Amino acid sequence: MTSATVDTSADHGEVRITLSGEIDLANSSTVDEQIRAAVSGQPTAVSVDLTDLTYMDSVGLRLLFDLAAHLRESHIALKLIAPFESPTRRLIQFSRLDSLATLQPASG
Amino acid sequence: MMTARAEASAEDGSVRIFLSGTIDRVNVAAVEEQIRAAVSGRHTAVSVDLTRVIYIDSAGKWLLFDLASRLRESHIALELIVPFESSVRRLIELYGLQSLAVLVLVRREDSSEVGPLELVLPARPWSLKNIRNALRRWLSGIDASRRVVDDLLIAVGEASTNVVDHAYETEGGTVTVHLELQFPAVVATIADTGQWGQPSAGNRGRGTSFMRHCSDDLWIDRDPTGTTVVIRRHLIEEKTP
Repeated sequence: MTSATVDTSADHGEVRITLSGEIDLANSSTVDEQIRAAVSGQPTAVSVDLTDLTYMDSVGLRLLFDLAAHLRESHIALKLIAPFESPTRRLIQFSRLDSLATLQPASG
Repeated sequence: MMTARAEASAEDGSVRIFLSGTIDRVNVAAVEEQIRAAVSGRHTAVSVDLTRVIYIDSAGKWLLFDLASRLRESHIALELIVPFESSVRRLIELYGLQSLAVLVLVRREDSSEVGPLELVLPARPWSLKNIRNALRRWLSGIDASRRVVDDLLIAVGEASTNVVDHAYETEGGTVTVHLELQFPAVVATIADTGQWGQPSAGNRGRGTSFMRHCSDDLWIDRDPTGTTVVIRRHLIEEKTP
């Protein structure tokens, strides 16, 4: 069974989400719910760390697009963290998700 | 004469059970006891290697059905490893075990070249993880680079997701994944026998563009009897981002 872990921490209104494991059609709705819950309070900024995600395809990208659109409506900045050369980073750039969020190779 | 041997890998929580000989009503109770002992712990993956099995009768069939259903309750898909061209494969398919278990078709051990990988799985979301596991194993066997592995996982993953998501109505069906080394490339074929519903807008387009992005050549052939997707990915020449 596909499994992913969604870890959340908050620091002065900034919500940091760390995704690890794999995301596909089998667990995307669960992950989606967890991400939505994490940003349900009024954060000032949101970051999603994808460094430890070992598999993601268009199903996972869709979650991130939905999140980016949702945050944009409330004028909340979104930062995505994906290392150079990672497949996740390539898909983010190829799908132009980086036009809706700041893309960084490492947290900090 | 029948033997059963279990090998558990503590590293990834998987267990593989090797059976050989015949499985029939004479020895089915003994086999069942050994399998139960082998899968009594918490495992992430369970496979039964049937490559040395000569015959499985209906008592053996129910043993495998029972094991597959119990694992399904814990969201684990049973993997059955069967030779490509064998009477055991025909029996397994005749019994309909591919509706509950993942069939991993392998060439006989005596073949020196890398044989193709063939998987027949239920077109259900939980199969996607099994497809990736089998792909990673097969691709590491041909020393594919990390970039090639990443690309093929995504390309095959998108094609399989489409089958799971759109090919069949409520009655369900199977997805067949075939990987073959055609040096200097890997050719992956993903096939279904579904009718496909109306194309839904949005995500499917992105999935297809990812498939194209992660492969060197892509063919999609859809007709009323099903859809076949063929993905060709070079092993050596690195694709530019």
